[in-house]
Amino acid sequence: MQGRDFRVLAGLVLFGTLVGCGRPTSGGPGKSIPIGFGGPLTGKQANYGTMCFRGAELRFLEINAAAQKVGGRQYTLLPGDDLATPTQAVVVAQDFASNSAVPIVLGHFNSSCSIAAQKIYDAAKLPNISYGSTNDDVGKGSIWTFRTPYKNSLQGRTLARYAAAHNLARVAILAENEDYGRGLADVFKTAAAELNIKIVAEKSYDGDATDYRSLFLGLQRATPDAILLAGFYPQLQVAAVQAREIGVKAVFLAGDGVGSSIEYIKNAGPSAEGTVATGPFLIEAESDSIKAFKQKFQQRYGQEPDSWAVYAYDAAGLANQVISEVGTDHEAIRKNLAAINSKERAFPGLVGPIWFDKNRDAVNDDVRLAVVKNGRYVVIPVH
Amino acid sequence: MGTHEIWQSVANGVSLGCLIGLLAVGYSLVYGVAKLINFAHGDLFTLAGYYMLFFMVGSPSGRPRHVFYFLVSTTAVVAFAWSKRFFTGPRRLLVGCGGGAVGAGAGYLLIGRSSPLFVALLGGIAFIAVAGVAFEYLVYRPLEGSPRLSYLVAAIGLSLSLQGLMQLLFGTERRTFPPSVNSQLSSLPVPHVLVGYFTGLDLLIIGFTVALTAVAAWFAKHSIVGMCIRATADEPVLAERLGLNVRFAKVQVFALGTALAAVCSFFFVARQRVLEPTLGYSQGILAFAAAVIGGIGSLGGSLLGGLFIGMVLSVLPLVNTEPLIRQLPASWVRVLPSLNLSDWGLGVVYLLMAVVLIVRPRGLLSERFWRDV
Repeated sequence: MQGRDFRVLAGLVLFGTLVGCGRPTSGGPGKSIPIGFGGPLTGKQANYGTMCFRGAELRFLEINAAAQKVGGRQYTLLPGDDLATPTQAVVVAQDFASNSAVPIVLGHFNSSCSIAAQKIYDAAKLPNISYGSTNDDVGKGSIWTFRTPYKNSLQGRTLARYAAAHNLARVAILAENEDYGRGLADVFKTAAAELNIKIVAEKSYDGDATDYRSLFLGLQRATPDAILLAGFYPQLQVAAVQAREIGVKAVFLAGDGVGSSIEYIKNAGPSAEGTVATGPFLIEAESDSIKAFKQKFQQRYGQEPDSWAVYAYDAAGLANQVISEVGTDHEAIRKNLAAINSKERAFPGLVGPIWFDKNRDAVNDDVRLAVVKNGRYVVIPVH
Repeated sequence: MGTHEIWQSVANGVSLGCLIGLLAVGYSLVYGVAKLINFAHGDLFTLAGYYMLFFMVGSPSGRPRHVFYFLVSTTAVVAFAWSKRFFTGPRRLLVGCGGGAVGAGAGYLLIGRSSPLFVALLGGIAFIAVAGVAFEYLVYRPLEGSPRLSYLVAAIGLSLSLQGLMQLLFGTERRTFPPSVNSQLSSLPVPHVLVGYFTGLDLLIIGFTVALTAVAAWFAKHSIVGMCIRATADEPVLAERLGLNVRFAKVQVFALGTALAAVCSFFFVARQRVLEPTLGYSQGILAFAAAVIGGIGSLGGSLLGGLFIGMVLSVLPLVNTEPLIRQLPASWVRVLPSLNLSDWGLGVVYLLMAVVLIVRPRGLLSERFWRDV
């Protein structure tokens, strides 16, 4: 029995070492402040999450480099991979909430993840800034949640106005069966009702669906002028190809789940042509500060950033500003963020001045409209 | 308005059903002999897709190189297992290494450059069959004599491990074959009446599915090997006493079943343009449902089950229940996320499966297992 006891002991020691290794203790010498980052770093939406993580990381690297010269604050970014699923987002949130050294979390990306995780942050009184969620209800849910991008309702209105201006009077909706897709479909319907656009048919699909032909045939029976694709590009790039294949001629309207990623165009090829999408389109809009960001990003990571990287970059900057002003106390951080409530007090972000309304949602009308032309997004005026 | 879309949906249902059915035939084939619900069948289907994709794309660096590991390790395992007939002791290891070298050589030839369509297809079929045999040897054979439940749990474990491994090695993003594959196959001539409903690729799918099912059924019923396999399925102990090589029969059936999965995978990815590590899970469950509906163990039944499911999934979205929903009290609508029937396609499929299981527990076409194939 002695041998066996020894094996158990050895196993325990090994286990302990592994656990100890896996979790670097923060707040030790060096005084680096750990900032939580929640987003889809792996999984189907890893492309978005990686972009955002890199955007935030780039900002903190710059801040750290500048601070080193004067002996100021250093930051480390703790990656929390939510796989773009609400259940995993809750696990990530619990992880951050149990780490008392984390003063603020940047996250999450997906609306469904932000909404699920905010209950944990709320209970733990941990401030969090979502850099990518656009569902209308994200800010409303908790006094600890702030959100920097625009809301879905703005996208819905913008798309509905485009449809009205281009005589697309009959619109069908294909929505992914989760918070973002359903949310976008709902706000579009509300906006469409005001503009006398008729919603002629509605279908929904699950994230792992592979056949969209039957859904499009169902929509096609209602002879729509346009079809709203409310979902994310990994599914819709396939859907677009299958739709064109069975002869769907309607114009595709899409939200930023499609519009904020170049992958949609790359993978759907000619089928993507003519798609009208809303999104930040910051990279395409090419202001001077964005150009400088793009260059820095490309230099460091060897790839072109997307618009969400800019939002994450700004959110990281905002976190730094707040911590520099009031330190790492959670309540002080929340009050400071909530006090950014007018244009005069706004944080100067690359996306423009960022300030919050009483629901802690950013006040901005930063939605642009673009059409896919010759394999690129071309920004067109909003009506 | 409308009839055109109805026929298009029916046509889509047939093609889709064939894809599900062909996968289900593989399920049934393995079940018929090994009496094992091979839940990893769907994941071998996915793996075959990745094999072919990387054979087509071909690049010795980056993710394609990971296929190389699969090729080397599975061929090594199979060579090692096979060598038992001739060698004992350390010489078997040597043969195993030799098998690994063969895998490496094939990998070098297939992944080193982008292969033509047919080479990629045949290479994929051959090596996925090798992988199927390797997993049979590694996972199922050590369980010989254990209760059925152990097999089931092992199969689920293998399925999950393969899924995880593929996510790790190949990434989780949705991928697909190069666009030229689809356009090449779709541009095959189609009889005039069918234009607009079927593409050349769809006809290929239907043709291959029917032909392969027929061949597999004939093979099982009339060939010597097939008779051995059936004898093994019916009376494993007696078959062994009579000198039949029961193990070898199982190996053959695993190879054949996974090869069918590979053919199915090729057509699936070419038509649906989706390849992701979890694909085998969602499609595998559908195929399993098809096999159960048709009568697991019956090949023709499995194909019919697949067609049935494909048709349900494809035609249901045409049914417009929205006017009906509007008449319901608002509180009902709030309880259910969607009352639109098209959103319940999978639900309807599984409901039907449950009904079939209640009414005919052995499936629609199965009087007696396997014997009438």
